Amino acid sequence: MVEHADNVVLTRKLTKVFRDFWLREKVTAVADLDLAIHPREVFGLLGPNGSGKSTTLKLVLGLLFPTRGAVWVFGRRPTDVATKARIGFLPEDSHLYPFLDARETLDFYGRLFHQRRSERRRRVEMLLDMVGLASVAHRRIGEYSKGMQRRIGLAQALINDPDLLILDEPTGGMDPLGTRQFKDLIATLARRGKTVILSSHLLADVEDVCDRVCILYGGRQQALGGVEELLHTPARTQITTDRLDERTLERLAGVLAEAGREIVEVSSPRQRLEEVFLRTVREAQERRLRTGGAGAGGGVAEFLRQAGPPAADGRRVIEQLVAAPPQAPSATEAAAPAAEQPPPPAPPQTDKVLADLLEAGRQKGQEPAPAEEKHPRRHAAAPPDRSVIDGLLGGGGKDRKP
Amino acid sequence: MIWQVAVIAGVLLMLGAAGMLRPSAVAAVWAVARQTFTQCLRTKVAAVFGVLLAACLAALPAVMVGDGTLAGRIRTFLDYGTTIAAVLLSLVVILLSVGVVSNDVRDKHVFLVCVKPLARWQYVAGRWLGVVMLACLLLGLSGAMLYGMAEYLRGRDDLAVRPEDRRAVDTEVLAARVGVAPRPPDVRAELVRRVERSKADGSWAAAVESYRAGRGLDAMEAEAKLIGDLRRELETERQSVAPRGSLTLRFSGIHARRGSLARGGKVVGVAGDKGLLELSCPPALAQRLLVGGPVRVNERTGVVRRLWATGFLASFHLEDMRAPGLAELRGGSRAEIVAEPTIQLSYKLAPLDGSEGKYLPAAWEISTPDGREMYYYEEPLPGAPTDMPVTMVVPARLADANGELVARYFNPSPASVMMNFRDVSVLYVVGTFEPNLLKTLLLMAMGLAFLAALGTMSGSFLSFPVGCLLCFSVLPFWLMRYLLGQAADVVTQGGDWMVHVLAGVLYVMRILLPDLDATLSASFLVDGLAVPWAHMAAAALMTLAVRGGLLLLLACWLFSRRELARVQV
Repeated sequence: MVEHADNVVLTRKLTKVFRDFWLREKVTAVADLDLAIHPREVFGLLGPNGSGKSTTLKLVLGLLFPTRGAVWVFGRRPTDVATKARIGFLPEDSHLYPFLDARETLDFYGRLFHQRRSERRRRVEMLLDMVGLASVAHRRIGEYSKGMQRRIGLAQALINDPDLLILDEPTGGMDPLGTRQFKDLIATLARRGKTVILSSHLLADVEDVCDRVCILYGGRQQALGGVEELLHTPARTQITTDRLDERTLERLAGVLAEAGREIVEVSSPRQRLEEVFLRTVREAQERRLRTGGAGAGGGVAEFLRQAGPPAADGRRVIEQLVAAPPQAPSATEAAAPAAEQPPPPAPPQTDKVLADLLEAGRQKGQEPAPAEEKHPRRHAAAPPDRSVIDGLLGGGGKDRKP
Repeated sequence: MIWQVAVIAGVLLMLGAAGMLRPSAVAAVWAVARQTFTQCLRTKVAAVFGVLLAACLAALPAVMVGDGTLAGRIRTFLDYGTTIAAVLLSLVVILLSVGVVSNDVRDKHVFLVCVKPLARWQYVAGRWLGVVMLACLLLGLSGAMLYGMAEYLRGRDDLAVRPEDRRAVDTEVLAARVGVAPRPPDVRAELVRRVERSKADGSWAAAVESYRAGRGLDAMEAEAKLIGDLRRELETERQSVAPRGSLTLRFSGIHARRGSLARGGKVVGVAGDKGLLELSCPPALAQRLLVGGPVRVNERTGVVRRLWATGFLASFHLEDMRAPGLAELRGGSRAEIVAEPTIQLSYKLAPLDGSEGKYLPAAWEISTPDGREMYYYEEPLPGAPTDMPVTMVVPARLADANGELVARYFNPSPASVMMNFRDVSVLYVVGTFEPNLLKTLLLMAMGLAFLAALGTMSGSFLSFPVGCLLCFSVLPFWLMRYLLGQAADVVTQGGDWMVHVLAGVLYVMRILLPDLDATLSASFLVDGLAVPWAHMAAAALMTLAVRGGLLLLLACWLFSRRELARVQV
């Protein structure tokens, strides 16, 4: 039971076999899956079509029953009502009632959580504002585009401020604006100590938000680990700086040659299309152009930004304290160059190259490098070598530019 | 009644003990029920139903005129109207109740609902309740339409040719009456006498042996069967009336409302040799009189033959016409007129010569059990129609304080007549039409709630078309419920174990299938009879609580064991 209590989701030899009418085995969707998803973790489930991601999620949600093995959610069976009260779920397709309007939809799901009317209304309005559908909330769901339905689907998944949010292909059909907001939301929830399970084909989304991923193929677990762990390429180093002229590049090549290395590729970084899109839409919104679709959407709903519930035990208190923002560094610490911090575990030769480059930067009067973020996994990582993922997925990451 | 209430209370207690009535559980069920109600409304089923029913009800009075009288027309309208409403509603309820669950699974709406803090049984119960709520709404609409149309017909002057037409509607159709059957003929003594005589002359053993051999029974069963047949034969004998013979029927438990209305009137004309008096009276008194019903003039009771808004023509026994009180009446004389409260005696004559569509003369003597007060009535020519219910009106005071009354039928015709005791009853008004309509709608709601449970159960594990097929295939068995029961009784007379298994299956089916005819048909309302509370309690207990509850429990069990997703790999 201790093991159950330590994990939000725990599966042991979880197996799901679908049978035909005559009870003959038709397909094994999930086979001997052992998963342990920890509290406050953003967990990604990856895999090509038919790899068993959705089946796994449905087993976790109690919509399917295991053929063998077992699954526990918050230490209980998935069908337990008390367990379900702590879960939010966004399925692959919205599956909302088309005859209800957006407000009625959220109100209905709020009722199922036994929320008081005033609280329900408050949350419904905040969520509508958050997903940018407040102005079209009177329209029936059946009249919405797929992306708008996804937004309402996301809102209903959050109506109870869940401790565990399960998202099955959450950004499918969403425009980049919604996708960006969705990622922000995941980050907010993760900061509040929520657990998120994300199943997606969009590897960029997974990569941006997940702490750990599990890659499935044929219903079996093929890889499991932290995103950094899986993506890190120790054999290569990438440097990003202001534009360099030919002479500097030649000097740099010389320095690298002295270290026994050579430049593999020199290029000007391009803007990501997502950034261009978001900027364009933001400008249009600032010009107050009319739209019958989803609006800009507000920030994350207030009740989703509030501090989480009181810690259940001493250990949680300690974890919260550890996760709290660090105290402001002293003047000496802030001025100290990043190179003076404990060295990362990199080859000595690489250290030397970096030290040289930093020295050159100081000579030009550049500011010292900012302190490392608390969650470096999401932003500080270099463009990943996704050979591990692509190899397993068989080209599943084609939708992302190298 | 007490045990029924006790059983309901017991069921509620058990449900409460099982936690089903916890506030959170009730709130969850209610949330799903509200959503289901909205869903059903917005799928425009209610609108289509309303339009269809309105069209049928509007067309009915023009198509179905019954026996041509206003009462017959309204009775026919109520009969067909309630039948159409019940059939349409049954269809709508079955389609909706199967659809709201099976289509939810098919369209995967359950993915979002069943992952919420909601037990599977709460979802099923909420779906059922939502459909029942819609059925009640549609039933209310149907009731309103039926009531409105009935009132419209009642108010049409062109249909109410005679004043008594409207009075007949008020007292026989748009009323709530109680029917009291005569005491069944007591043939026990005669039966014992005949059996003893048969045993004495030695023919009894041969008769039993004949039954035993012919029907495959053992000796005891054969004897019981023989006695039963003898009893029925004697009862039939007691219910047949020879030419110029009579048949006495005794009633008890008649508690009609008392209270007469007395007003002064004026004699318009007198025909002493024919026993006829024409009087004028205030309209309020005329409204209390019935054609064929009693009226008292100066303490003498006569029969109203014709009726106007401010007067009537009454016939009196010739002896009464010569007695003090009536003898001195002349044109312009004032008289004390009393409109007495009345009760009705309904009967049906069947000629034993097998002829149909005839009229037979009939005469009645109604009296108090002690014979102190009597009332004579003779059907005016051409007599009483055979094989059709005939209603006559008699003074309510003839039932004594204990509610007992004696009616004697005289058969003046040259043919023997059969008067089945089941076709005879004393009727008296105990209430108005409106509450009776409400009770009828409540009964129908119970039947529809059972059908909704059947549909929900089917939808909980079958697809929509297959679930509908299951429901519609059960309905014929419901219609054949009594036949199944008789078949079970028949086959048990054999000795083969296979036959007993078959009889057991038939018996179980008869138990599981409710008597929907007792709930969905509006026979009480159509006959102007008050729906008994005991009948409603029995329907609530057996149709709704026991059979409907069993189906709902089965639905919850099936749905809780159902995987809501399918293979998608």
